[in-house]
Amino acid sequence: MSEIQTLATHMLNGLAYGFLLFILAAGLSLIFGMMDVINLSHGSFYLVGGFLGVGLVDDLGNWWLALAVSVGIVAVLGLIAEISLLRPMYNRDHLDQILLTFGLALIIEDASEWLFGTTIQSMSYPRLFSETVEVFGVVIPSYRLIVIFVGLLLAGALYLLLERTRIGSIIRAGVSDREMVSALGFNITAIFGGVFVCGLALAGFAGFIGTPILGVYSGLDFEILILTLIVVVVGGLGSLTGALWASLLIGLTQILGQAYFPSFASLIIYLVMAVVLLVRPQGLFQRRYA
Amino acid sequence: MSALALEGVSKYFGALPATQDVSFSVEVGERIALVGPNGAGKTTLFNLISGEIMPDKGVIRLGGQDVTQYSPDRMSESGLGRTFQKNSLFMESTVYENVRLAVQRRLGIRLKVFKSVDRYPELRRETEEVLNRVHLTSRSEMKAKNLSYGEQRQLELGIALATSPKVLLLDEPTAGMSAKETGEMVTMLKALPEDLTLLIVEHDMDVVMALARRIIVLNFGEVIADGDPEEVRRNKEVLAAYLGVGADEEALGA
Amino acid sequence: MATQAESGRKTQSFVSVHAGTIAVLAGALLLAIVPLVGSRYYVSVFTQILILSIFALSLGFLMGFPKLISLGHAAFFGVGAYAAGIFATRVDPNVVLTLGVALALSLLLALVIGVLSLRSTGIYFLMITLALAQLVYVASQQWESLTGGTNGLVGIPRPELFGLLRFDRTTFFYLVLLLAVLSYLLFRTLVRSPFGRILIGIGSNEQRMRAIGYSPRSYKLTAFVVAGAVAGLSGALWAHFNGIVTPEDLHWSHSAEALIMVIAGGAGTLIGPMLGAALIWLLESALQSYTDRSTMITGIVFILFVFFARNGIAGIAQSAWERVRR
Repeated sequence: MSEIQTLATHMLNGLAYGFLLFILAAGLSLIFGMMDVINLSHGSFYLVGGFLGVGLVDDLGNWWLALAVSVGIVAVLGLIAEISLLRPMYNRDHLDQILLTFGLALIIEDASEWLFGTTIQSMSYPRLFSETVEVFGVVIPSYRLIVIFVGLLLAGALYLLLERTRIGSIIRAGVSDREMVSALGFNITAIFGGVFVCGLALAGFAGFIGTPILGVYSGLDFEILILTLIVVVVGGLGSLTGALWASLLIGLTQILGQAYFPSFASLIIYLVMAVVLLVRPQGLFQRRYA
Repeated sequence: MSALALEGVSKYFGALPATQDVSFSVEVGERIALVGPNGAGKTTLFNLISGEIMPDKGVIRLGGQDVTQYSPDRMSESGLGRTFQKNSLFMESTVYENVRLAVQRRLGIRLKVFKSVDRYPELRRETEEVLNRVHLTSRSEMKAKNLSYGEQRQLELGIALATSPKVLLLDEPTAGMSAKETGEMVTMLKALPEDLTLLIVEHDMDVVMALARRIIVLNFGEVIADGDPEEVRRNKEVLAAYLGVGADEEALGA
Repeated sequence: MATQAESGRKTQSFVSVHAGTIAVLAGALLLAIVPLVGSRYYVSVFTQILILSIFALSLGFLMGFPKLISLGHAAFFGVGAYAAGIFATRVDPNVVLTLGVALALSLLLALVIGVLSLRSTGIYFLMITLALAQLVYVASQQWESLTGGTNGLVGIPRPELFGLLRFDRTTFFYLVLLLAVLSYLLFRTLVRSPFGRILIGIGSNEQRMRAIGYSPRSYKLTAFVVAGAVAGLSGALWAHFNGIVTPEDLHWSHSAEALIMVIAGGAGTLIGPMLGAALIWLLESALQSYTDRSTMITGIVFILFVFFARNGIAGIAQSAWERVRR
């Protein structure tokens, strides 16, 4: 393979990685935008999605069914967490809610180590996408293309949901003026719960589809969390557009860094973030619905 | 020289003009009421003057000095004080401590780290003096959050006064107060030194009439009238603005 | 002690004004007896608790007064530890110098991170301190020639004092005890000073502080730098105690642990975080001998504190005290 072809492969891997981060960042951003809470257990639900996936793909024997069931279970767990931990705290400082998500993250990390040990678990690709395809002489695992495609689809869907639908306008209004939304008679608690569960379901979804690429192991939760935080810091909190561009930037930087400067890959990510913050402290894109 | 002057000040939120080409000038010691229907841009104008937001166009002068780009803290240091429409207090601190923070700034007691804050006699003297002026001496050891609403409004004023401003912006000083509390607030405001320039946003026309000799009316971010109460009351545009948006006719004493 | 300035106001009792100091000094006196009556094991236990209580105290100062919630505080702890360790190994194990170098370097790092992160507030600040601290963590792993990489910096010699004294377990304990008391007194003086009152004002209502003429950033930066330097000091003591520094010492989970200590002890007080450090350390080491699931239990305890005792041990003690007095 020529240099160019290798580079192209890395770029595609970087894009796939970036879109995976986008799915996570979108959920984190959505939750933050609505509830002013940074969900520090976001990586944990990614992890849960991944572990469930590994087990269910084996047990159910059907990759797609396993995907649906995993995301469903993550959503239910998210709902339980929302009802038991966050809902009683809505009247308190947002910091308290953030602290609770952090406590939850500690518990999930330890539980995952307990249940699955510390070794990396892997998941097979769905049969449909286990092949590689060749585009202009560049060999690409087709699964990566699917991840990119799914990420794009999700970006489009979220855009349409927020900009074009009634629910979207309620969410946007809730972001800028919570009291107004409840004054208009919408059930803000239900909306909060819904947004939180959707955000976590996205994290679980990312965990499932990310596992064939990254594997899943206890400890990955915090790695993923920190990467996602970097993405939203770089992109600008609460901005979906920002999350998209920053995900791709960080994804590409990470993969290209690993390929060409293996010992400095993670350093480069942090440097990118530091530079962005120096130039634009509020991230590349300002909060959209402030 | 005027105490405060605005020259063609405009501010847009996106395409919406929140303040449009506002110009007026205030003499030292003048007391002016800023009125207008809800959403007319009164608080935005206060935020522009106090430096919370920057105008897109125009110049703001304080005592002749161009302060257009000043941040809120520099505005305060230059002699501008303000109160907030929604009480903005240090809720967990005592009344005394609330006022003391502002006095500390005025006296320049800032990066002092060795001596306890209680050991500055001048700080105590000045703080007690301000508490006295806003009738809160008996409440000085209470936490701000435990005060009655009216007392919180008094404290809101006290904090602003403690910086010894030359120009004071009062954002609805009597909002939400009972008739008795309102009366007390008006007495307090009337007792302020004569050379203190006051700009008051207020809906209660009795309060406006009691305090101000000059009224500026804003609508859709524009000044539509500026003059003594009698002139303003007869102004057709003003009547249209108030009646047009369905505000109560009493608002202008009509 | 009731000063002139206080006499015009309702004077608080001596005990309630100085409750924290009295408790700390009494605690210090009690601890000072430990090496005389307890085994070597207990001396080690209390040395570690004291070092961590200095660390938690420095973060508690930031969280409780200017309300700066940092998730990157371990960076200063770690840099202090590496600075002291490297200096002791390569140059001189004189404790005055090693602690001095640690203070200076962590102070410098706090200045850099503070300038970058204090441009933002709230949740942004939390995330940026976290990410910047992780940058330092990665750097400590990569800069092998200096730090020994992931294996850590090993063989740090016992500290000494100008050739007069080579610290052993007991004398080192007394050094740590002294520094813990001094750190407490430092922060207490700060909190009660005019500067400290400004920090409290900023933590309570930053917008109003601006409106009355304060520019919050410089005050926050000063507080951040002081807290970073003291965290560096605790890290240096940690390095001397263990004889080894690893990148894990500045991993963000270490920052998180400090945060848990502060919350469990009670943010908004100074003695709280120190007690929180003791509680969490004891809890974890007690659990570790029975179960591998100590992290999970710490997490649960943490959640319980946030839910039911948001003001931590100090808050519980305070309300109990008020009930007794009534």
